[in-house]
Amino acid sequence: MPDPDLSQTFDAIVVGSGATGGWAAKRLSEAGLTVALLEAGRNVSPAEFTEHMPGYKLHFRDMSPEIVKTRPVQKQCYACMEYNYDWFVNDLENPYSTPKDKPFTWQRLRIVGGRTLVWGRQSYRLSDLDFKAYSHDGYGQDWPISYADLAPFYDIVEDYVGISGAAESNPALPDGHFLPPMAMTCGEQHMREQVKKAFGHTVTIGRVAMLTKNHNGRAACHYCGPCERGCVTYSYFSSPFTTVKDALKTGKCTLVPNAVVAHVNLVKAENRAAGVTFVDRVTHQTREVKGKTVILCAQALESTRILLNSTTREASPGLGNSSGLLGRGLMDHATGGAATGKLSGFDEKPSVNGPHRANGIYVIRFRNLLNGPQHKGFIRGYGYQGGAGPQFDFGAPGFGAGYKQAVLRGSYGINLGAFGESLAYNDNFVSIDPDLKDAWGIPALHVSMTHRDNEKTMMEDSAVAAAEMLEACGARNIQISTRVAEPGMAIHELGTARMGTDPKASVTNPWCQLHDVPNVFSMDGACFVSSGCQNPTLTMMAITVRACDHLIDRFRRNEV
Amino acid sequence: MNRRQLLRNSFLGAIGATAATAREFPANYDESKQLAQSDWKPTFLSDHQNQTLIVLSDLIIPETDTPGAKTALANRFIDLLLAAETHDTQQSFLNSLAYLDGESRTRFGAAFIYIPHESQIEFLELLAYPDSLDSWGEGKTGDSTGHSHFQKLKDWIARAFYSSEAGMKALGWNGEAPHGTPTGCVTKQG
Repeated sequence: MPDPDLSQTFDAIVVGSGATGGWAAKRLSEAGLTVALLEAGRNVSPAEFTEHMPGYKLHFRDMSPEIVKTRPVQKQCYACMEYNYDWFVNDLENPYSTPKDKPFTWQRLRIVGGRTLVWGRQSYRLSDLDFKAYSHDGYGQDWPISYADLAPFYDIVEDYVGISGAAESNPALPDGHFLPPMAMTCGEQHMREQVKKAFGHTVTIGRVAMLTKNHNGRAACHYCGPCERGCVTYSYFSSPFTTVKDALKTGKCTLVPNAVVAHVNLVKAENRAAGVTFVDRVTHQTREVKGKTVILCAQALESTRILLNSTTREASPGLGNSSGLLGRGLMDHATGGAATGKLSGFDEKPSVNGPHRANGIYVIRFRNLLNGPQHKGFIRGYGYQGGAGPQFDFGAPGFGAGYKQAVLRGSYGINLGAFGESLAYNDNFVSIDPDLKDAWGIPALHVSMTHRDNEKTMMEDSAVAAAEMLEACGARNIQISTRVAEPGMAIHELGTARMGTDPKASVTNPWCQLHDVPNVFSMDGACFVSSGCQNPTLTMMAITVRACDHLIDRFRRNEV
Repeated sequence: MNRRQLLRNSFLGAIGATAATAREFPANYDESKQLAQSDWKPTFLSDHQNQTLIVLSDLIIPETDTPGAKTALANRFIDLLLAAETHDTQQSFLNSLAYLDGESRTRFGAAFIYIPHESQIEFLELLAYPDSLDSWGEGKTGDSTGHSHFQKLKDWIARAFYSSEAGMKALGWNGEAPHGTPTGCVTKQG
């Protein structure tokens, strides 16, 4: 591929080509703006997809002990496999530090498409229970936007992406524009009925960015199973084959892979960005791109790292940090509260031949609702992901022909695992580690985050409540887990450049625009004020589209 | 992972770092063929350990109406995987294998592969369940050492077998990429 022409001044420089960067590039270029789309990783090709390759063909059959040598952090992610590990960053090239007693798992991809190549695809709207959580319980801050502000943009994103799911008319989890829902197993249908009967809670099929019918030129899912290894039919949403593709089609967008952005450059003596400086990932040469606006979509922590590494004339370190809040309020959903068990009485049998439904069920938040009882031990709430179905029983006891038969006969498992709201604590933060640089000489992050009593009590409650639901379903051998997982393990990093109307109490305005530097935008998960308990990518994309539309408007009115 | 390990790894990592191109898999990519070569020799296990593993794997997952772990060359894959594993993992596997021979000598007077088939079965039945050793001979209350070693070896063999082509077929694999459409709850609750 020839070197992209970077001599012009672009209307917008978008940093990052994942869920939000893809949308920013699409939205802006389709409006006629010129866009440089910078991605720290290489390009991706469908020739790398391995979702149909059986494990026995791999050298270590997907049990490779080698991956951990270059990816000790990434390997903790279920999706980092022998098939695809090189999509994940090499941890040795991409270090970060944490306090000794505060481990944080930072899982990331550097490749065109970023984490959309391997994401879990669960897609849920937030509600005003989340946007206005402060008004409800007095903790933290309200978002400067409400559900009504974002709803039209959820619609736009869902209509394009294709989200399958079922409408439930539950105010804690607004319905969206859904493609037909995937079918529940018999055990899940049973769980839905029993949980409703015993507790009044709603068990619904997972709302997921996977096509249940042909949609926008992409084919319906064929249920092979391992989405995280790619998809030749593009049936789950990943940006390279949707938003980024659309952006490139306009002729207005220049994709620049292998561009590791170091910092934002300012116009001399002005509070205005001139562009960015990046290091070529392969040649290690430093280059500059000029732009009228800079839009950071590099993932919450990476975007904030770029701002913190950008020079400024202000007292607080970093760009856009007059509030002193840049880097603060890091969140990642609390996980670890879970229950598993066995059901009997269902005829379904496990199969290697599929269909493999890469989606589960979702239990809608039921704690601390607006007009319901308030839990004494914690504020906010959690939802569960889980499922019920037949599985091969590799753990069957004994040996010989009897063991082989028992494996085949299988067992019928049922499980629920909680995702709980992570509160925005100002002392959960990222900063620049003065002693640590990445392989390109760019100062690395120090990440300091712990889950606190609220998250811990919430996870304990979630485990007990899950066990009670399993019990109501008639499950046996119920086992619970109450320990909160290490922060980062939910891979839902949010916050560090929160949005707000008051420049003293927030980093960006409600359109992701830095209060201090009006032509720089932080359009990914960094702008979240609170985390809700829902998987955040859908909301991140909706916020990006809303912010881009606002920016397009300003371009049209010559305000940029 | 401590700093020393990270440092050691950084030398290994330097070799493959900053790859500019993708890892691609050609259509005929199949690493399992290497294990099936006629001149195969163990790289990690000794000949005796390898023979023990073959006999044990054949007992734990025998040929029935589908091939067993011996035909699936489970021992060869375990040898391949162990060779790349950490010292601790390697040692823990070898300890379990050594336990098998040690107990076999004590109870049956010879290493595991040299005792009669019936004795091998009898011995494994003692190990296969957590409390079965208690009722054997003088029995020690609550000692499940033998069972833990058995369980470890069985886990390795089951993983090696069910991840092989033969193992997938034993699970009913039709040789195609999985596909279909979930039909929902069409079967009756029993």
